[in-house]
Amino acid sequence: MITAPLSRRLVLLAALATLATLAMGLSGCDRGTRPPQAIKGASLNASFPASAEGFTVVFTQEKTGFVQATLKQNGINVATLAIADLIDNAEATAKFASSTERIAGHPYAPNGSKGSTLLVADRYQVQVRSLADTFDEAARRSWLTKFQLDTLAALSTR
Amino acid sequence: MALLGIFGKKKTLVDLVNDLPKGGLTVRSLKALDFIAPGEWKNPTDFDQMMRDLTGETDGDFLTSVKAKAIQLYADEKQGYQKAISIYERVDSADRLLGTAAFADKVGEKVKLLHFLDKITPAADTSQTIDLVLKVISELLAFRQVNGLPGDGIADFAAALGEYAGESKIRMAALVAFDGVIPLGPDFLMKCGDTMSGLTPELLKKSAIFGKIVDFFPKVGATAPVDFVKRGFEATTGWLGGLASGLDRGTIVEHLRQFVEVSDDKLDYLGAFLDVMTTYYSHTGTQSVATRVIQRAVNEV
Repeated sequence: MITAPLSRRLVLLAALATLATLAMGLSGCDRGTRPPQAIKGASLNASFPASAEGFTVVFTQEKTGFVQATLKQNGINVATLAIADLIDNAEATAKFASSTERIAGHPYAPNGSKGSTLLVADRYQVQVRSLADTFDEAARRSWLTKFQLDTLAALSTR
Repeated sequence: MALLGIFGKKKTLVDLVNDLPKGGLTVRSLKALDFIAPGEWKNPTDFDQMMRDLTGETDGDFLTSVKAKAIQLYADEKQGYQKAISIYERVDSADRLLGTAAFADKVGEKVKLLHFLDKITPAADTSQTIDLVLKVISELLAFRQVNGLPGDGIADFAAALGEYAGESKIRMAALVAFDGVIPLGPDFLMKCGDTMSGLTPELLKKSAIFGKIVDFFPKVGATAPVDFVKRGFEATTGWLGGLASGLDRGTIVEHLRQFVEVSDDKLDYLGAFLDVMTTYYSHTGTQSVATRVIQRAVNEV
């Protein structure tokens, strides 16, 4: 008869300890430290370029920590646009360690022969990849700057 | 690859693609539909080649990292890609006639429909229309899993159909041809619409497909399955009608006669035959999912 209430108390203590840990984690986020999990895809949408001047941006995938869109020019798919949260992806982040060039203040790195990437706020990889041969490296670099890079950078300090 | 199955180890996305048949009834029947979606489908069955084609890359080290990322993304159940393939497989298994595929699958030979007449039964129009609509809904459910867009996905799916290409396009072409025009005639969408207007939960439950996919219906709000099915179908009829435009039984059958011997008085059996003898949903569904995973993986390396 004595052991039952004791074990209940122990369970309660364990639950309180879990809550305290959770609360500490949450307050850490509030103070602006990096959230432990990848960001919701919907939060990344606002940082994509808008459709304009014969180009249309069509969203194709929205996952936790990843959003992708196809860039169409006059109805033809010319490139893909993507933002990936690299919070749990050290291999992909590593390619920026040796980058010497910056675009709009963010480290730039080529990715394969068809991709151009920026690392924003040490966390978000913005990539433009060519689908059409006419969409060359210069076009990729230009489209990287059409992302709302400041909006994206601000996400990491929210 | 077969050993993996024997020991019960889960197949990787690479295994799933590389194990797809290069020939056989499913492939031959889909190739016969090239005239509906010209040049859209090349039957990709080599994962490495798929990566080269989709990324435009040739560097071995780069592609190795894309492959590793693709395997990892697919293996993570939370990403929804496994569920999508499961949906496609369930659609096929609902109407599969086991044990006869190998018999009919002699490469290069014409299949005589006459040999199968005692094994297949053409479905009544009402159940055929419900099965067709549920296949459209299955596509919507798989789309939701792959694309991860919020909500019930109906509006996004309807908008995305216009972007369907490659294996996804040929799957939809097969849907309208094999499950629509052949068994129901060129006005199959009107017949489906009639069934939908009187759709009840009891009618839905009679379909073998419904029981296999109902677990994947969105849990958003308290929408009843009947309502979801109706709205999903209504949103896609315009696009399906466009794809089926100009198609009639005669044209499709003429293309299928490259490999199936069927007399005009037995055409009623042809739709049922294709239903039970092919796995076109899971075959092209696997290819569609692999495409999306590769397209994502190259953006996460």
